[in-house]
Amino acid sequence: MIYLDNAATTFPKPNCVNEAMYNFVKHECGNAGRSSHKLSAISSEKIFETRELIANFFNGDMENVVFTLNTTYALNFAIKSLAIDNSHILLSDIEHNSVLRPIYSLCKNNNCIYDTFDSDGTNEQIINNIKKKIKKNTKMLVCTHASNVGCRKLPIKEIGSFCRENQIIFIVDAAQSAGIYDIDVKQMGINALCVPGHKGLYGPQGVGFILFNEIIPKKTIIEGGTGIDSFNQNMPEYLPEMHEAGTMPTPSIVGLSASLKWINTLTIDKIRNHEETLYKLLLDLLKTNEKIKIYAMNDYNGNTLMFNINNISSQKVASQLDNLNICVRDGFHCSPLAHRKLSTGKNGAIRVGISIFNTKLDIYSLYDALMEIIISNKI
Amino acid sequence: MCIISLKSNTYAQKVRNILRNYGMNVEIIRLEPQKTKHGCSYGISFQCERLYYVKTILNQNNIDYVEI
Repeated sequence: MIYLDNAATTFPKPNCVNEAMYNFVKHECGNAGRSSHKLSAISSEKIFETRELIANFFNGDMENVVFTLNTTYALNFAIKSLAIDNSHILLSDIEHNSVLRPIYSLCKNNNCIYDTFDSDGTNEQIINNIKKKIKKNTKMLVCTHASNVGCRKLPIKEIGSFCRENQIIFIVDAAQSAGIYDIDVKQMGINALCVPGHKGLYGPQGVGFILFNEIIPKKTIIEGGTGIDSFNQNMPEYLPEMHEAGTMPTPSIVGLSASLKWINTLTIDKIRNHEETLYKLLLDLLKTNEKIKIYAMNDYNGNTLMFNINNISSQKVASQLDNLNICVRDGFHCSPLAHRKLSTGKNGAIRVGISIFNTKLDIYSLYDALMEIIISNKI
Repeated sequence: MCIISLKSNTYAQKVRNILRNYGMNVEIIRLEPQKTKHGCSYGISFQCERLYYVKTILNQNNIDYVEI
């Protein structure tokens, strides 16, 4: 099988992840921060170690790492706990539903309003696009670092600098960029970085996190047990416990710890170079066929590429590729704004997501399979 | 033994690592329930002879603690 759906979740995982999770679940899996016994203490240490790895990876502070189920939960927690009533929120015009829906819901209930800014253009033009949409009561800007449909990488350092100057809370969706591009929350002025464990960080599903920076949320979203202060009816007012009610997904956190160490050894430069090399190879191959429409910006060199074959629905192509043991993603990728902007129409598009485990042979095999589909469908 | 009472397990782990970096042999302990204000809390145990040294390290690193 050739797996090219890595923008949805990376697969396979490094062996060290599988082994770390297996050993932990079999021998050490207590409930962290809940008891006096050894297994609880070991679990607590594993979580603490992972917080430190994350803080070092993104240049944040260890106690500001809040574990969540995934990026969607991280974005919901960050947006809803930092939002200010009756304010204006700005987001880019290529946001995933994990940003769009919580903001839509928030504005429906809290009398805030939101608007989108145009993500096209140079870094300077994008900042100007943002300036045009800023209002006196703009208190929050939320945007993706790299689009999940592979069309755009936003200049988060410049946007962060603008937000810092204008005292706007800056939340970044790093679902597609963490582990591929360098992210420094302090240097980039990011107040809340939302990250999945299971994509570019090559950890398991079931764990994501927020890395808060320079700002502490005032509201809780979920309340419950924290293992401390049990007779206090209020949640703790400090991170990370304030946002970590209930038992943590410690086996997944242990897997993430292993994958972060693996990436640190391999380096993200090596991962990015490998993935971008394969991306360029695929782009060059697809460009040779006029029956394939590619949705890619000229300046984008990433690891995710979207395209369609003339007049065939993306679902049909994905299904035929699956019959040839090639996994890709079809449809709208939960990104209605980006699809509308790219005019993919009612069929959506095929998305190929490349990982460090893919090879040139995978790309050539995909291209051959697409040619076979074009011929068999008599296009 | 003396005990620093801290606001959370995460914070206790952070403080333990800081004190260990200063060469101190310290351990995290779960505090006895009757000694906490709202129940379930964590602390760091250390030799009482090092009290002044510990307080200096905590102050230098801007560490908030509940009590010693």
